[in-house]
Amino acid sequence: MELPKFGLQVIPYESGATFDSKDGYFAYFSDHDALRRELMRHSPKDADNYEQYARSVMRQCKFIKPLLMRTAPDPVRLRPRDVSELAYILKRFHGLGPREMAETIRFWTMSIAEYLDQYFETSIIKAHLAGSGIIGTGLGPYSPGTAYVLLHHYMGEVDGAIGAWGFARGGMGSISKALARSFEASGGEIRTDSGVDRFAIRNGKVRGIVLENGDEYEARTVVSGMDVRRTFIDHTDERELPSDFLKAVRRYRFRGSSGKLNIALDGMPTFSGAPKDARFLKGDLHFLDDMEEIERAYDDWKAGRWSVSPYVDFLIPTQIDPTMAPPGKHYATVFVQYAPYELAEGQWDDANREAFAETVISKIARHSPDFRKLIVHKEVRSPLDIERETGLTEGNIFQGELTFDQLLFNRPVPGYAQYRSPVRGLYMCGSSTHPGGGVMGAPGANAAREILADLGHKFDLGAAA
Amino acid sequence: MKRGERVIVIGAGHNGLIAAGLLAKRGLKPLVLEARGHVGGMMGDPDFRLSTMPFAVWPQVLRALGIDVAFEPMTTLVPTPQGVVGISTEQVVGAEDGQAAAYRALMSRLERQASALSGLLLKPPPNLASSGFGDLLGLAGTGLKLRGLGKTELRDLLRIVLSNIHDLIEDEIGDGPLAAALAVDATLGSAMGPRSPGTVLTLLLRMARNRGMRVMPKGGIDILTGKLENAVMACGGEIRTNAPVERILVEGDRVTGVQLAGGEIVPSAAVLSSAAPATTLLDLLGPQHLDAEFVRRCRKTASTGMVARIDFDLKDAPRFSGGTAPSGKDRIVIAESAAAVEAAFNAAKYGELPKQPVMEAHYDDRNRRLSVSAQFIPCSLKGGWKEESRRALQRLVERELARVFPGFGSLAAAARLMTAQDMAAAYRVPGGHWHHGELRIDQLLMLRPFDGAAHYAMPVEGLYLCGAGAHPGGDISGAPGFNGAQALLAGRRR
Repeated sequence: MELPKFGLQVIPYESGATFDSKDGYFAYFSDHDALRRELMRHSPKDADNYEQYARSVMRQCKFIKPLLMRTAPDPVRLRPRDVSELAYILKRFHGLGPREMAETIRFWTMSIAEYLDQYFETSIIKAHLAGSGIIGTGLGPYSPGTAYVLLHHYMGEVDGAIGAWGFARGGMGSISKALARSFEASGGEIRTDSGVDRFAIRNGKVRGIVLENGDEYEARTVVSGMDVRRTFIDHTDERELPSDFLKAVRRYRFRGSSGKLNIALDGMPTFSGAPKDARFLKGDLHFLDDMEEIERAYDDWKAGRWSVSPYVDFLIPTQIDPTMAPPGKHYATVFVQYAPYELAEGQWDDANREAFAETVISKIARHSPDFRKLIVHKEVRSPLDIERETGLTEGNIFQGELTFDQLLFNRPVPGYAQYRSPVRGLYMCGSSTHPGGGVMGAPGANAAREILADLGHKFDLGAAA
Repeated sequence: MKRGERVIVIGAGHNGLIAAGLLAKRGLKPLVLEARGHVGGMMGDPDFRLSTMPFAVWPQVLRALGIDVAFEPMTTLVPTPQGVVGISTEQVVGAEDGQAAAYRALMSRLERQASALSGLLLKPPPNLASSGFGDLLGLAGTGLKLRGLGKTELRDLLRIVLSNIHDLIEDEIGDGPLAAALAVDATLGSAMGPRSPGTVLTLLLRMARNRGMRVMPKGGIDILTGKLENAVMACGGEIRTNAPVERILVEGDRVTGVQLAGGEIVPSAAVLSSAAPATTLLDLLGPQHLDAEFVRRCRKTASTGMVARIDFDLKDAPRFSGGTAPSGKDRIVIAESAAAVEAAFNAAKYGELPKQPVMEAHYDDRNRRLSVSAQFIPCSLKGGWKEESRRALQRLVERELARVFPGFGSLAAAARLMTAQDMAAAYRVPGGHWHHGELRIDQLLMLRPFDGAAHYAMPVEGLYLCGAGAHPGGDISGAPGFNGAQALLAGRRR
């Protein structure tokens, strides 16, 4: 989509850190030598094993990456295209060799805690790396299946470097802006403030859409980027849908588990555990001792309350991109795991929202003595707020859980994993389709390919990229 | 191997006896060496009866041994404050009608799906290493058999197979006593809670036999142990108890026999071990005979036991609050809900005692014994197992039993406690794990006990695994013993 041409600048991610309760820290650097020195400071053994760990994760990324940009085969219907796609996957899998095949199966099924235990002995190193296995999910680091979630966080690519993370200059919104400009430059049109009321369907075929403001648009092809529940439960007449499909959509799991704080700061806070002007403060900061702390945070969520000691992903992006705040001021974005969508006791009202924010702030303040007094303003978002504001059901950032029952040919629901819906002409292209969430754009690209194929066009992703 | 040749079988648990029985039938001379003073392993321990029979031996295995044992189905009783819910093959009583119907519908669906998977169990797991692509096609063949389920149920199976029992319960029946029984069946003996992905698969594997219903050999467990023992002896096999193997002897990458704790050397060209994989490979054989990667994988196998066994001698039959007493044909599940099962697991994850352990109990009315398996009692308790913590656990169990059987405190005449740590020492199983290694997706099929060791034949020629650590895993199924013996008879090498 030539996004750089349309204004997207990605600043590569360089570092991050985890502070423990005794003011010790582990810093992560994307620079290999710096990272190795830091690992050596904690454990020479871990430093050596990190190389193996990184290779293993890269191998998994390389194996799975091409699969993401392909439509998942339907293992039940088994039409010729499904058979050839299955054969393609099997062949790739077999091409890994016996050792790697077994490793791959284990990687897909094991917990992030055990995966990391295989390589590392230092608690804080494991704690730092474990976050990627659970962010955005309703799972804890001890839950089988979380090692795989890691990939959704490592799959990024910045200028060809696999596993790289980047910051979009101007904030994440600038990605959407660049996408919009690119789209408009190709002759597309975008209408904002045009909430959809319902899809117009006749005789099992989509005929267009009706907006909330009453406007109607006719179209033989309609693509929904909303999640599967919103699309079919909220905006489709259920009489137009088969009952087993409806049942499956209702069963589809979102499980909001993340909250968010946006905090305007009067200046740059200091951290008692960090050397002054440590460059890793520019990256994502976490405050925890070990993986057990994350698992306990998860137990709170299971019981319907926010974590007493939450997993926090704390970032001050204004250090890297000063355009986001007035001169001298800063802005902190705090991603919090775990917060339930529905509280077991009470509602997400102002009092509870404030109490939730206080839990998070006091955790940060334990590591940053001046943090509290630098706070000028804060926004608190519970999963419910995220849902209301962004339209992500239950505030789930992946548009639905990334567990095996909702991946590949099961995503979003079995039998409808190829972007088509029971209504002819109505397609899905959101993150609730394969391969799921993260800002990677694969569901949209895959859906486009299927739609073009149905319309009789050939579409080469390679050429489009 | 030639007829009449000696084969050493380590361990006289049910898998060891089954393997030995099969070898004896084929004209070999098995010598079973058992460290403890009794045969039957965990199943035959005179001080600790299995609280119930976790699913029965495969009929094919018994047929191969020429054994005839009658099994009686058991009724699962789940006591609740409103009364006792009973689940038997024919019916569900005491539960709310809608829930009972949903439960039965779910169970019959799971039974069909489980039986479609059962073809994977009584044979070696598929092989990723050797013929490779052919084996993958073989797996695809199993897939074809699964198609017999019909499209809807196959789709459903492919969706739930790696998911967790909590979600299935939430979708299909809702939480309650029936859900509790299901959650216990999906997690019993393992270090997973109902929300852990993979618990549906463990349930399905269990349901592959007897449709998941518990059974008891007519006349008690000792009948089965006795018959397995006889099957070995009748064909010229030999069983020695109090004969702990100390070392497996090797010369030039070939097994030559074993050395017993007393120093006695027993020569043999083949050794089948039903001991846990790590015990067999690291303690008895020794890492010096294995390559470093193999040893690393063996060490990393997840094997954390979370079951404690408590046997009570009672003065009188225990009675539910309604006044009825359980019979020998009942299996009692003590857990209020699937959520309570998860809550008990929470504490165990961190090495703590749960406030309310989940329990499975069986009352032997002839001997007035109540045998309890308390689930989610960690093997390595924080602070270690001491006299005080043992007493705390016993009090906890008695308190929970008193909730179900009012006045239980005054009924108990004696109690014996065996924690997972005690089991680890007594049966030489790392972590005291019931299944000799967690029954988890990443440790099943060709990954059981670990990658590279899945086909019974070990890297040292003549050494085979035949215990619960090998595919298809634990419970009283006899399949690992059967598969291990078949591997040796076929002369399979690694």
